[in-house]
Amino acid sequence: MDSSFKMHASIWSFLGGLSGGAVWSLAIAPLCAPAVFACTQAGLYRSSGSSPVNVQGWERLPNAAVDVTSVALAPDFERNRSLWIGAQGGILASFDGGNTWHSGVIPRPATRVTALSASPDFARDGVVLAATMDDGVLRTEDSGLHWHAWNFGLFDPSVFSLAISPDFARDGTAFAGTARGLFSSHNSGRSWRELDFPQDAPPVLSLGLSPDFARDGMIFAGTEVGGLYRSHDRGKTWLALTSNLLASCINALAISPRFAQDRTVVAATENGVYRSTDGGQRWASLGDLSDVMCLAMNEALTVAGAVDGGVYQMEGIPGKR
Amino acid sequence: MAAEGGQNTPIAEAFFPRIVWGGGWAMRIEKDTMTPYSSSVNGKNAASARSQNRGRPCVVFQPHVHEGFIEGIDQLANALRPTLGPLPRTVAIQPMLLHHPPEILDNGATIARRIIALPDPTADVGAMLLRHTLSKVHGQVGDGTATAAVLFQRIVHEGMRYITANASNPMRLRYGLERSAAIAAQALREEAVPLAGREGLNQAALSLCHDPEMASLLGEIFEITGVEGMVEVEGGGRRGLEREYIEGAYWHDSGWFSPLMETDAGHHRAVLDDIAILISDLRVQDARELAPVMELAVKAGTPNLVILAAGLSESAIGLLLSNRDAHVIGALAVRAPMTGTIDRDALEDMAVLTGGRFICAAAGEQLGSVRLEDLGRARRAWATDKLFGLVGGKGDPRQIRQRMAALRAMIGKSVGDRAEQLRFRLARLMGGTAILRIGGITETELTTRKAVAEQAVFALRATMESGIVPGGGTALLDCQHALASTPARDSDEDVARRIMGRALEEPLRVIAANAGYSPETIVARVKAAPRGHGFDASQGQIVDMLQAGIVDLAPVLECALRVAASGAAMALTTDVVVHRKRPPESIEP
Repeated sequence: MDSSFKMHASIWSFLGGLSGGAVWSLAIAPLCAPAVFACTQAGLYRSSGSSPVNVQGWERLPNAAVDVTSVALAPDFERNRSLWIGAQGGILASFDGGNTWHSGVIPRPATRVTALSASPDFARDGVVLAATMDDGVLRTEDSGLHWHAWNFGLFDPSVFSLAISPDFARDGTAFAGTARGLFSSHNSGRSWRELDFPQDAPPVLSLGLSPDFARDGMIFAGTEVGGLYRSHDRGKTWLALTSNLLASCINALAISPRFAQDRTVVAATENGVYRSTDGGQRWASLGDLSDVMCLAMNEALTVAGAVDGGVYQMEGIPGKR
Repeated sequence: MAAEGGQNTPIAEAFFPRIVWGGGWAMRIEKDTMTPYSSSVNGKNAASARSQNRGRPCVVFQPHVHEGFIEGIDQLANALRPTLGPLPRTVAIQPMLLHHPPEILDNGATIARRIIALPDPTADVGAMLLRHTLSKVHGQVGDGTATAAVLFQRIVHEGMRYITANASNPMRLRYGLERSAAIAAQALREEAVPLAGREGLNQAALSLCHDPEMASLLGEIFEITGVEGMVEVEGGGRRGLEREYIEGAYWHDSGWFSPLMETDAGHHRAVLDDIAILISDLRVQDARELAPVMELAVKAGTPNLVILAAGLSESAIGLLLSNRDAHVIGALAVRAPMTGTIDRDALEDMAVLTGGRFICAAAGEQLGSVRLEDLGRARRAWATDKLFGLVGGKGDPRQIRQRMAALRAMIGKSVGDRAEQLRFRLARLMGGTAILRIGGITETELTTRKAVAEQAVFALRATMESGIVPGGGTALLDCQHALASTPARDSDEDVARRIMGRALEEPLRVIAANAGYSPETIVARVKAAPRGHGFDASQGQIVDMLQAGIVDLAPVLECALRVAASGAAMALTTDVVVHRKRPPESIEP
C-alpha cells in the first residue's frame, strides 16, 4: 500500500490507497462480496469487505498481470465469476473471480488496452470488447480466450473509451471514443461508422449510456478539451453541455442505474467530481475530490479512483443524497 | 471474294450466331399472342433480302429501317425474356471450341454479351442498339438487363405502331418518352423503402442471386463492411462458398521485389510489425541511395523498414537483405501498385493512411532528401508476390477523414469503372476488406456462380444506397398512377405516356407468361389489388410483395427504365442506316 495519497474528509469515504500510482479502472461486483476491483500499475486489487457497502481492505491478486489498465466484470458475475483485465501487452480472463487467469490470444504486436466492456448478454453470446491504443477494438466471442481486431470503418485506431448498449442482444449497439472522433457499431462491434460528433472536441475519454438506452437513446461523451456532450438520439446529434465546472478533462462518467427516474449523471474531471440530477443540464460539485481517473456505480455504491492511488466510496447513488 | 463479301451463305451461317428456340418456347408463342414478338414482322422475304446486303455498302431508308430494327430487337430481347422472373429458363450458347460443353446461361447480361452479330445488317444495327443499352444497364447497376430488354422491346413496338398509324412525330415522341421515364423513375424513388438490418440485406441478396447460401453470406458481408466497404469476389479452391475478412488495406498489382523477403513460409508471405514506410515511385539503381533512408530508420529506433518503389536494383535488394540478416533493421521492398502506369492515387492514399509523404519521381525528388517525418508508420505490413497490405496505419485521422470526404464527393460525380475505382480507394481508407470465395464442382459452375456473385455485390451496394421496391414488376406497374396523374403537354407527350404506361406492364406480363399464367389475367388482378401487392409467380398468388420478401432493387429498376426508354427513343428516331462494306462485330463489351 502507498501512504502518499491525500485524505478527503467529505461525503466520500476513504477506502484505501493502492500501490502503483493512478487507479485506472474500477468495477463493482453486483451485490456480493468481494465487492470492488481496482487496477493500477502495480496490478489488480480486490476489496475484501463483508458487503458492498462495507469495504474493509484490499488484497492484490498475485496471479494477475502488472500494469493493469482496465477491468470489466461479466454482467452475471455472481453466477459465472468471469472478469477480464487489460494490461500493457495483453488481456487476461478469469472465470473464478480473479484467483486464476488465462492469457487471451490477441493480435501481435501487443498493444495497450484502454477499456473493456462485456456484452449484457454475455452468458449467451460470450462477447467482450476491448479498446486499444493502437489496434482499434478487439472482440472476443469465446469469453476472452481469443481476440480479433474488428475495425471496419474505425479509421482511428487509438480508442480511449467504450460503451455497450444495455439492449446489446437486440440492437448490437456499441460506441467507441477515439483520439479524433466517436464511432458506433450496430452489429455487435464487428464494424464501425463515424458519428457526426464535433470534430474539435475529441479525444473522447469517457462514455456513458443511459440504462434505458433502448427507449431514450441517451449517450454522454466526455472529452479531453471540449467538455461534456449529450445525445438523445443514439448519437445522431450532439449537444454541448456548457458548464464551467466541466471545463477540464473529463476522465470518467457514471450514469445512475435508475437514470430514467433520478436523471443522475456523475462526471469526474481533473478538478473535481460533479453530479447532475437533471440529465446533464445543471451540475454541482460532489465533495472535494480531485484528479479522479475512474468511476463505478451500482445501486448500492459509487466508487472513485484517484490519480494518487486513493479509492473513495459513497453509499448509494449521489443524486439521492 | 465471295467469302469476304459475306454472300456465301454457308460461311455466313457458320459465322453469325443464330438463335434456335426450344419446343417449350415455341409452344408459348402459340399460347401467348403478346409474347414473344414474331421476328418476321414484314415477312421472311424482306428479311432475306436485307440479309443479302451484309458486306455491301448501302443506305437503308424507311420503312426498312424500322422493319430491320424490330427484327433485330426481337431476336435479342426474345433471347432474354425466358430469364425474367423467379422461374427462369436457360439459354444454351454453342461453345467456341469443339468438345467443349455449351454454356448454359440464365443471366440476361451474359446472354446479350454472347450475341455479337446478326446476319441481317439492319436487324444487326437494331439488335446492337439494344445490346449496348443492356450493357449500359449492366455497367451501371449490375442487374436489370432482362427488365430493360422487355421495356425497350415494348416501347419500340408501341412507338412504331403510333408513328405508323397516328403519324406521331418521332422527335416529340422521344421527348415525351424521356419525360415519362423521368416521372416513373421519380415514382420508383418515392416508393422505395430502405433495406432494414441483416434480414433485409439477406432478402435483397436472395432476390439478386437466387442462392440462399450466397445470399446469407452477402448479407453478413455487407452488414459488416457497410455500403462503402470493399468486397471482392474470387474463385476459390473448394466446392462451397467461403468468406474472409482482411484487416487493413491492401493493393493488387504490387508485391515484393524478391521472394527472399518472405518471412512466413507457410503462407508465402512477408510480414513485418511496427514499420516505417518509404512511399515512393522512384527507381533505385544504386544501393547507396538507400543508405540515408535506412540510417534514418535505424536512428529513430524503428525495428522494420518497408521500401515502396517503382524499381529496385539487385544490389539495393541485396543491401536490404544483408542488413536484415545482420539484424540491423528488418526490411521489405515492395513494388509500387501499377496498372499499366504507376498508381499515384494509391501511393497518395498510403501516405495519408500512414502519415507519411509520397516521394514523387516526377517532382524531381530523391532519396537523399528524405527526412524522418516523410516516413509513414503502421502497425503491420505484409506482402506476397502480387499483393501489398498495411494494417493500423498511423496517419492523422483528420486527414483520413478529409480524404474520405473528397472521395465520397468524387464518387457522387462518377459512374461506371471510375466510380468503382474510387469506391475501392474509399474502402481501403475505411480499413478492411471482405472476400467472398466461390467454389464449384466444374469450371463452368464456378465461372457462372462467380459472375452471379459479382453482379449481386454490385447491385446490393446500389440498393443499400437507394432502397427496395415491391418486386415482380409490381413497382413498375404502380408507376402508371404517377404517369396518369401528371398532365401531358401535348398530344405527342400524351401518346408517349400511353406507350410508357403499356411498357410498364411488360415485365409483369413476361413473368406471368414465363410461369405459365395468362398475362392479361394477372395484370388485371394486380391492378385491382391494393398498391404494393403483386403476383408471386412461384406460388401463383397475389400478395403484399414487400411482406412476402419479393423485392426489386430501386436503383436497378430505375436505371433499367431510364436507359431502356432512352435507347428505345433512339431507335424510334433513327430514319436512315448506312451500312459499311465490312461491318464490325460488336465484341465490346
